[in-house]
Amino acid sequence: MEKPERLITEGKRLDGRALNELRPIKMKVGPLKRADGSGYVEWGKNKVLASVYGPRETHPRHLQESDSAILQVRYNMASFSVEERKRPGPDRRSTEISKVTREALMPALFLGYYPRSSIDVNIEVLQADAGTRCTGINAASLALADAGIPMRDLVVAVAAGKIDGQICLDLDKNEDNFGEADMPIAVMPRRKNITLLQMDGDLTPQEFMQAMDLAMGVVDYLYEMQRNALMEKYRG
Amino acid sequence: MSDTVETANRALVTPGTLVARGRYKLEEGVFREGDEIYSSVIGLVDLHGNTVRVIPLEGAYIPKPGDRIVGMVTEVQFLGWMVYIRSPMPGILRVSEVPYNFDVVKGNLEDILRTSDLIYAQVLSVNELMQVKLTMQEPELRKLVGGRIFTISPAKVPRVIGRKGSMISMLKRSVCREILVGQNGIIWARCTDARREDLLKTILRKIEREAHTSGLTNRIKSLLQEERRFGEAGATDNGRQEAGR
Amino acid sequence: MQEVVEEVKRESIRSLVADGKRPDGRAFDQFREITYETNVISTAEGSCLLHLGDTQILVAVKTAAGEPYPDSPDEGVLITSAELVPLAAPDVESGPPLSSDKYIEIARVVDRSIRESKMIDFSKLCLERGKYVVVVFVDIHTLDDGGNLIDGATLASVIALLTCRMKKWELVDGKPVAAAGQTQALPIRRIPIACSVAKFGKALLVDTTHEEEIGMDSKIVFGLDEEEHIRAIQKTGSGPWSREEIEAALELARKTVSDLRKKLKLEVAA
Repeated sequence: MEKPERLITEGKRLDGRALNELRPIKMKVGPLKRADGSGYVEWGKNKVLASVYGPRETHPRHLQESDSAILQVRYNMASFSVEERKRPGPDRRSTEISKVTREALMPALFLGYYPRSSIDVNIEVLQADAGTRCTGINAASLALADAGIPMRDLVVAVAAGKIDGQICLDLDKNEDNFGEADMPIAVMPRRKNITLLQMDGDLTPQEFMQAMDLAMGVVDYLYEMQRNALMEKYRG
Repeated sequence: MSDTVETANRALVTPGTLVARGRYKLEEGVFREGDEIYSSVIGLVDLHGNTVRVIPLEGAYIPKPGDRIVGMVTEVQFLGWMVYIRSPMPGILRVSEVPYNFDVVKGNLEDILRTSDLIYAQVLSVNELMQVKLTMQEPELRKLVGGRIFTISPAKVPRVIGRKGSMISMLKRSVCREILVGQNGIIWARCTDARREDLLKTILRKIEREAHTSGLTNRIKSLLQEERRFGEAGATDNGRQEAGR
Repeated sequence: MQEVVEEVKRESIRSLVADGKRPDGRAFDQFREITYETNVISTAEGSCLLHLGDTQILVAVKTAAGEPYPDSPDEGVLITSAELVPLAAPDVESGPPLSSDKYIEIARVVDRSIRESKMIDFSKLCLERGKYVVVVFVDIHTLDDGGNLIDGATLASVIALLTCRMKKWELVDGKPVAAAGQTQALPIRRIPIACSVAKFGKALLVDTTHEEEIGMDSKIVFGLDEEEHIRAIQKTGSGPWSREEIEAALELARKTVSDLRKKLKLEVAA
């Protein structure tokens, strides 16, 4: 798509959203039967599935730690998930995302309960439209709770950014491509502790704090959504 | 500073939910941050006396001494066997822990147990390295022959057993005489025919899905009665007695 | 055994910092001494060997002619990679996967500061629209890991690019050729500098040594341009941050980068 002349017209974005509006989100817990825990999130056009196996024996053995479990996260984009088919397999981007996702989830887990074990999280992006790492973190949080891994708190994630010079929430693909900044954040909602923070683009310090506050403002909403999805599995 | 309860007893909670405040004694599924007590898992709040816990609805099997488990031999080693018990670390069964006389010089471990054999064993000890030692030195513990394996989430095992064994007794009476429920969520059963094995599978799935609800025992009872109405070809003596009731 | 040693080190560093001190006696907002040499690799078009305390990083810049990305047919391309050279540290980290993701992160965060600040004017690196552009390779070699690799690598890369004498690419019979014996400077517009702020409980420190990195909770890297606009942010490590702590870290980074700019006096080549 050619760069559109404007991403915002009269306060409305190309898809009709307001600046502080999230795309429609659906969350489901436990869609996979073989995994110890699983979560599925549809966020706008993103479709992301997460599975958790563990705690289980660590492979390879030498990675194990004597006093706690290790957390291994693999974020992967399916080759068909993007417009132009992506070569299957890990690339540098997915390696980086796997690392920061792992660091976003770790503080929420009581890894000390399972020495010498491994908790393995797999995040598979089936369809992508910007914001996949945030969608993946939400799905992984559901999957970890579904697997019965003891957690201090759930972990929610959302991105804020800047388009046409204005700070906004939850960029879609066009906005990410043609906008001025994209900033994903992951938070443990209870104490509003930030466990993932990245940004690429151009923000003044004031814009940065504004974007952060905008993202923090929807944390409780996403928390409620995750909690409802978890309880839905048992209530339905 | 008073002790307060923040959620209703038996309420369904998610990780990170505030359950109580104050000097409660903590059991499973909860953790403390200062004065506040939070749930660490998805489960049901259980407050009794001054103890608070959250009964997990999901979770891995963490072996405890005394647990009876169903496992599968994965390796024959020097003086014993490695056993898969569905926990983060495998179980170790030493030849000294099986009730057979074994000649260390001339004997062949494979004559006692070989890979893929199923056993009903007991957890003897778990050390700080999470190494699990098993034993078969109790009367009911034995190698399991024939039958079929079913798996269920370890957190749901108490429900399969039921209060004072009510659920498992009902299943043994009405479905399969021989059922062994491992604390590790592996269940072995030897039924008279495949139909009964399938029925047991259906019931176990139902228990797993509805473990957290009340009235489950009655619903299973109704299910069993329905089954009896729709054909009892090849029913055992057991079954005929039930039908008469 | 390794784990026990690490744990002891971790605890002793943390209690030192809690007392307001650092193992090498520096202030919390003080960078170690920075020295560098440029043009150390004759086979590269630009290079910089940078010393940041005990950390030694070598960055080499080479160019080639190649295809542009489909969505920017008239712009040059930047490819940044980072490698840990085995002589840089005893093999503390176990297994290829865990240690290589650290280096992929370094490359990508260095690239982010350079790319997002629009340091290089890629529109001046087009030879034939849609067909041939100049590809700039920035290769980061960590020779000695004394801590704070991201800030060091960003600085070394920026200096290598600033002092680079690039081949003079031109089209001859429709094919890109490097004109013999001629060089030119890269078209540079801005000079980004990265500053990582590490968190130890409530304390914030800049320029962590390798030892301090064992004891810290996590860090946040801020990539800033001359106007103090933020071009890249990366939280790395697992300790969580509060909104206020992040705000304080940004302030510390701004002040530190401003001091560094005055000290280093980096300039765009004429």
